[in-house]
Amino acid sequence: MSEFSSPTAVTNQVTDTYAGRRAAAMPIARLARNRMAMLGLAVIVVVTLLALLAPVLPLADPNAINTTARLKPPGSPGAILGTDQLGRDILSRLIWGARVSLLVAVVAASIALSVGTLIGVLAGYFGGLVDNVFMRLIDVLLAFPYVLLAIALVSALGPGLINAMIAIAIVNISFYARNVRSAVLSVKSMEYIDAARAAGAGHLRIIALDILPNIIAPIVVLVSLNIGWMVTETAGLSFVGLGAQPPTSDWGSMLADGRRFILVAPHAIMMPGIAIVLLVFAFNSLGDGLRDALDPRLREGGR
Amino acid sequence: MTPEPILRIRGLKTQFQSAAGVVRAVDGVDLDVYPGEIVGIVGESGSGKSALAFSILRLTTGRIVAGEVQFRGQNLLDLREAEMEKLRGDRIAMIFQDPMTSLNPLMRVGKQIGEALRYHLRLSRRAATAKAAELLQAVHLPDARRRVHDYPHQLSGGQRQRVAIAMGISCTPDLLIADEPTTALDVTIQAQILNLISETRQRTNTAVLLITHDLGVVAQLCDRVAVMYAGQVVEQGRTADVFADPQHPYTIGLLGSTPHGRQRGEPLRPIPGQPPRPGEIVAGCPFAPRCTLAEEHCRRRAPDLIHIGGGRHARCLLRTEVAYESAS
Amino acid sequence: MSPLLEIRGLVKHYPVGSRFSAQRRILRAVDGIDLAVHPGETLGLVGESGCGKSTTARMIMRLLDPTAGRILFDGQDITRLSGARLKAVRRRMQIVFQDPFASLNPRKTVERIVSDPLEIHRIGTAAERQARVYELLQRVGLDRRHADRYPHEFSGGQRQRISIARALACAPQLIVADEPVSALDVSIQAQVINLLQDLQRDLDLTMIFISHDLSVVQYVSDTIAVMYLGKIVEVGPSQAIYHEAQHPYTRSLLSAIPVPDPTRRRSAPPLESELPSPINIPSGCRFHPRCPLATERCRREAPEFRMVGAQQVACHNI
Repeated sequence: MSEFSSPTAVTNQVTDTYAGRRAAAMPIARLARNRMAMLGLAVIVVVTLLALLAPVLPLADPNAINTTARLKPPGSPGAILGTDQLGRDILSRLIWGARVSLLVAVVAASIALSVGTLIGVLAGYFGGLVDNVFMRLIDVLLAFPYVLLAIALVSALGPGLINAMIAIAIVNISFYARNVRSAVLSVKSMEYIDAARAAGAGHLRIIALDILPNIIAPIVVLVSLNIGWMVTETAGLSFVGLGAQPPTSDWGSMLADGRRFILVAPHAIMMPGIAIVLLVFAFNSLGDGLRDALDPRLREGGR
Repeated sequence: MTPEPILRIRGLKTQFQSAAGVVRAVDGVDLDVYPGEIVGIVGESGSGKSALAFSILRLTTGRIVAGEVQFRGQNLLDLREAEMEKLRGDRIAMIFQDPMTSLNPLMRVGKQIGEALRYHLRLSRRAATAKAAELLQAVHLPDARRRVHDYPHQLSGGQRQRVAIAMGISCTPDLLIADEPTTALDVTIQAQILNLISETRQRTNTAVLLITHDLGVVAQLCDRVAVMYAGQVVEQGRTADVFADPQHPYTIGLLGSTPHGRQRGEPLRPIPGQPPRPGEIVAGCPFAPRCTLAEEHCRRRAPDLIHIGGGRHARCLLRTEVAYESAS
Repeated sequence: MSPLLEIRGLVKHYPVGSRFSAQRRILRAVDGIDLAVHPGETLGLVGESGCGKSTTARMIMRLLDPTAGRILFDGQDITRLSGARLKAVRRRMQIVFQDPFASLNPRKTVERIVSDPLEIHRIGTAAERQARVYELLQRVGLDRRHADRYPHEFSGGQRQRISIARALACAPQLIVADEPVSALDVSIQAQVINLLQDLQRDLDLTMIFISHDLSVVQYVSDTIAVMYLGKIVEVGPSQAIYHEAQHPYTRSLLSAIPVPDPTRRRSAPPLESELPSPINIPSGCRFHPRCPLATERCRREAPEFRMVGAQQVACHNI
């Protein structure tokens, strides 16, 4: 490596570099300034903590039936959020139900994310026949109405939380596959991919070092937006009786239980309803905030 | 040169707010444009030349914090937005680097030109259409009679720029601001468009403010030139004088950087280093860190743009001293 | 001396329109070109957008597969190489791209970017590679303290230097520079041109320099080939082309360049009309619809190369 002589006088004078490392931390700073996103994040953290700590919290047994204390209104002694038609403590059931709802959403999202990303990366990166085959399969999945497909899948597999989770995961694969594919396509057109090929890098190396690191940001946004929907979908399947089976309950089955007493005891349906809306709203505003923070089009510059 | 300038800019300052702090894109610009002349604003990216153009029309996304823009004796910065709107496209027109951004993709080109005519000149629909075809012929759009019915995407880049120019001159404005009008075009097409601008000026006596990074374009087209660096005009004068005998070290550096006419092996004389980054504040003369002639006081005192004789101005302490010495 | 790189009858055609449509047409990006570059020489490839110069560069680098024709590198036919044998050739030729913002992976540090080719070809130990990166950075006018920064922290000119360092990492014999200075400001452009010139001299590089700017190309090249709509129309020694251009297209290209000298006026009127589409290439000589010298023969018959002065020209009327 001795063929390098000293640099020329002019080219040696390089002044200090642009904007500095602060720029790398900018998306996080921008996210922190977004109040709605921070509110969403706070709600998610609180719900997650409550769900995780449910076994050690001083809560009533969520499944303990007390026929003498049925449909008690919120604020009753020993039942802050009231009781349901079997006299079970709604607060306790909400917190235990959050475990189920969150777990199903997170696991289903992980499955959909892994399979969808794999398909999206392969289709986007290799293009041609691979792309055609995968994308036509995805089109077939998309040809069915969303909820109908999930219901059909669960009916085929049999009702139950695990099967509901699998159904929700399958239904959401297309969402990840299509979005990841388009992210890969835009990265693939960048010249640094050509530069890597020209340097002799193989496909695996290019995918691992040049493609994946550059699509992480859009994937993070996808996940945070998607988990919100998954919470709704899990609740939806449980609501129609295809998800959580008694005595296990999640927010969807609580909603279904409360439905019959909507006139006499509206709190029985309102409490799980509010919980669902709040959590979905939290995931969506965090997702929107992430998207804004990571969107390069919002970087400054003007004329 | 006629005594009254049509555009007279004094102490214009435009700033942007960014994560890096306040960016002084235009930092105290003085500039005169006389009727019927072509003035070039030349500078590299980030020099503030486009921000200046957008500030004149009050279309900048930044904030104009000081100065005045006298157009035909009236300070544009005092006008109400409604009055400004009447002026834009009528008395002052602007054409852009990418005509696609200024043309409506969903409207036929003839109609687009016609709309401007109907708004500003209150022409009937029929008269406007006829005038549009006439204008497209005047800018040598091939097959203009038929092209009136084309959408922008059916035209090539050069043809779109012709349409943009036709639209720009439709109300025979007093001033046409052209922001890098040929940068996106191939050289042979660029030559056509430059010819067209020059021809248009001759026919309509419209003054042109031409923003460009290309010294060649300035040399071919402009009567006078202002060289911008870090938001300021560092030198201005008649094009022939500035190119023959540049006074500011930055202008000297720019001219030394072009490979034109240089033999192979004869090294170029580039300007060392990088321009200040947006928001960076350089003490003293902003060019001093890259200036091969800079002396100690250049890093402490910021020079003013001073008259150095023969209608020429330069913003350099070294020139200032020469001027003082010859005066005393 | 035998050429380091030779291309013969190189063609790249793209089908356009739907696969199922009856009138599927052909876009002729590169339509049969021959070139040779000798060791230590710089070949300038010049032409306007759509003339096929970048497509040619990508085929030479084997980033695109040619429709027809052959590419010979150091006497070896590399047109259909793949796998380990292609990888071995890649080590010996490198490319520098135009856009300094798209050609560097924003998620890698400068050190990773520059050491990547070394790692791919398993050259040296980790410590040796790091030393090599520092050496390369210094060689292109950067500093070792830049090594752990990310591309967005650099200006366009600095990024182009990083690109050049990456291209030099495996000490290639051939560098293809595809519009390497077109995206840069004039003062920075000159820095990078000087750097490339120094590197070529010191490292005895062979270079293909692609640009739309004939005044830059004449400055850096020994030989110039002028392309128009997928074909070469004139090729010869740089100074001969610049000072005594023969082909009417080269001449109008030269006269269209705005010269930074107000005392010099344009020598010829600019070309009228637009560039034809590469899907609809004119018959005979493809320049004839815009050519001031065109005759009936030009409409019918495509011209062959002839020696005129020091260069080869494809024109009936010179």
